[in-house]
Amino acid sequence: MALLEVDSLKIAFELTGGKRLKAVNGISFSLDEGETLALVGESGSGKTTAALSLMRLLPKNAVIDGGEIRYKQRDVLTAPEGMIQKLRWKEIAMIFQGAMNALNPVLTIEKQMVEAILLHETVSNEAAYARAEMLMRRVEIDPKRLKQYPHQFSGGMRQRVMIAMALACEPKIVIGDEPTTALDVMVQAQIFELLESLKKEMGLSMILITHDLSILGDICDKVAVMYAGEIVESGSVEAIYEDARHPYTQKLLAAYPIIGKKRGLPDFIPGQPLDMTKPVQGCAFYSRCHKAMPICLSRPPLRTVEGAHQFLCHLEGEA
Amino acid sequence: MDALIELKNVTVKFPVKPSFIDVLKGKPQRVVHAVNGVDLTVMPGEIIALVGESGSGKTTLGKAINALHPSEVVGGTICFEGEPIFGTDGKLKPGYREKVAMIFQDPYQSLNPKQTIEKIVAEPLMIQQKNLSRDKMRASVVTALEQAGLTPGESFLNRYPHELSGGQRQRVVIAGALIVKPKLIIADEPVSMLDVSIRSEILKLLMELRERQQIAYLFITHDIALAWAIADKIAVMYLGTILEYGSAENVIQSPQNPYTQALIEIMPKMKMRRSEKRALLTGEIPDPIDLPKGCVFQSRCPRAADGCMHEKPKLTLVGEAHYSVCECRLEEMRVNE
Repeated sequence: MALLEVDSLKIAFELTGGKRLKAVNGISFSLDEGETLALVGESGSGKTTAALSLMRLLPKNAVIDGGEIRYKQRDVLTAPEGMIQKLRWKEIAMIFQGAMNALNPVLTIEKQMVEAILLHETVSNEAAYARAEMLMRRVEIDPKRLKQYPHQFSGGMRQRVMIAMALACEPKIVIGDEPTTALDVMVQAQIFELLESLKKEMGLSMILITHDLSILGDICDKVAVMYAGEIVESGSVEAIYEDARHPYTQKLLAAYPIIGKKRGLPDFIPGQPLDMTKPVQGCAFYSRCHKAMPICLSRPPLRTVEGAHQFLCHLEGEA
Repeated sequence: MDALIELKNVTVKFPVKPSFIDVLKGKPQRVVHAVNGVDLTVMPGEIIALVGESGSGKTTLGKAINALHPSEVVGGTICFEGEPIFGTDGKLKPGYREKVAMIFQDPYQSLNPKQTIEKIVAEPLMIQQKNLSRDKMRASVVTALEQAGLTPGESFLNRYPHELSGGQRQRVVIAGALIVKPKLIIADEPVSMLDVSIRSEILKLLMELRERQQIAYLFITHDIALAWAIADKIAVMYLGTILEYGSAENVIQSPQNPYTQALIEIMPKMKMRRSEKRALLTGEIPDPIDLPKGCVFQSRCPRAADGCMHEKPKLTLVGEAHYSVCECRLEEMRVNE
């Protein structure tokens, strides 16, 4: 049985003036133990909203319009608040995007880490301090540096601290929301290597939120490509790299220059993402698609290529 | 063809403000060696990518060329079209600011939220040409906006940054650079904060401007794959020093320096390689206060030898118009592989 299952999840935001923004429109995916899933897409594609809903961390104006989230067979969306508090950090933890902003600048790393541990677990102060030291070692930082303040750490080090804090209560699933976008490539590679070894060591599952398809091969098992709140293609990383079928996935793959492939200006996707307060007719990608046809104004079917590789398109999807 | 910009042995050193105790103890003044003896030539219409990690000094060098540092911290000579940019009195030669413009990384932070687009774009020109009439100024702003792909330009004049999308904001930043009709644009990570779909559009715009207006670029980035895709030449920088320099093809296809090789290797390649063991540099760029004797890269170099600790290597010719401070162990490396 899957550790986490999301089934036809729909989330909307109530905006002022009675408007509704449909951020997530019926997505389904599952995550097994030890598996890493990437949620890929542009800003506004609904990937962060979907991830936040897994921990019930959505803002107040968000409404669940339907669907289910099951963690270890238990329903997350209807569970009482007390149970969710136990789920947050102890079962599912999150590494947030801006390592620079997510730490409190006037408290030492030790204070922040110990506070987080004490808040979630009934352990003695000493045990919490010992845990903090162990966590620092785990992310390869000298535990002596616990006494320092965030500004004394480089960007990469701060991101390591954020990872240590996410691991503080030994969760089963870690959600990384663009954990390396603000970092340079060398630090990014170091962070991925660290996450990879932590996953093996602790049997962690991971959900990685990113817009960069080129990094998937370094850290993920499977991918769900999101556009306008829908999963338009999903499958193993190999399937997406070698046999992408949806025009949007193909465009995303071509948007990053890759050493060893064709040299020159990377491809781009014309137009703007959809205004999601308006109803969508047919395929959401229609207005920006280079292969659009009249039939695309009707709802596209979900096609299966092979095994878990699926895509949402009228076209057969030859590359 | 004559060089547009020529740097000779350029250094940027920032003095560290000493603590009161250090002054009492008579400790020597400490200095951050941000840029250490860079030679670089940019030809008209050429794109040179300056590649390196955070802390390599690439932005500091870009700002030095844009004359954004006080002249006393900058050493060596920077020549524009054959003339040093600073006069003998240490003052910036008039007119230089119209020749070189800079684009910064984050379009959300580099625009004043309280000013209209017209005011933001016009500002550089207002400083250069104080007695330009309002109509002429407005016409220049509209032209610059349209060159940056914001058409019709008039419709953007009275809008504010928050009304625009990320891509449009970066176009406004570019319009602000274009309005002075520069010959060189220093682009500091112009696309690293942008979403995938906008990234390539902005790159395309920058390349079109080069075709149409013969603008040269110093393109500062940590993404060596992007450098390879768009630049004519690549300079790899580390701890304020250029370690390798040459045509984009040479530097990427036959990198001579272990640091360049490491940067290329860690770039995502869009293939499954989780089981592969990769040569990853550990740690980060060392503190630029106390520079190591010998090669600047020695502390992280996987192939550092005794000689690297003692003698400072110089950029030497290793191929056709291809320079590296290190080539000695390339043959050896091939054998090891």
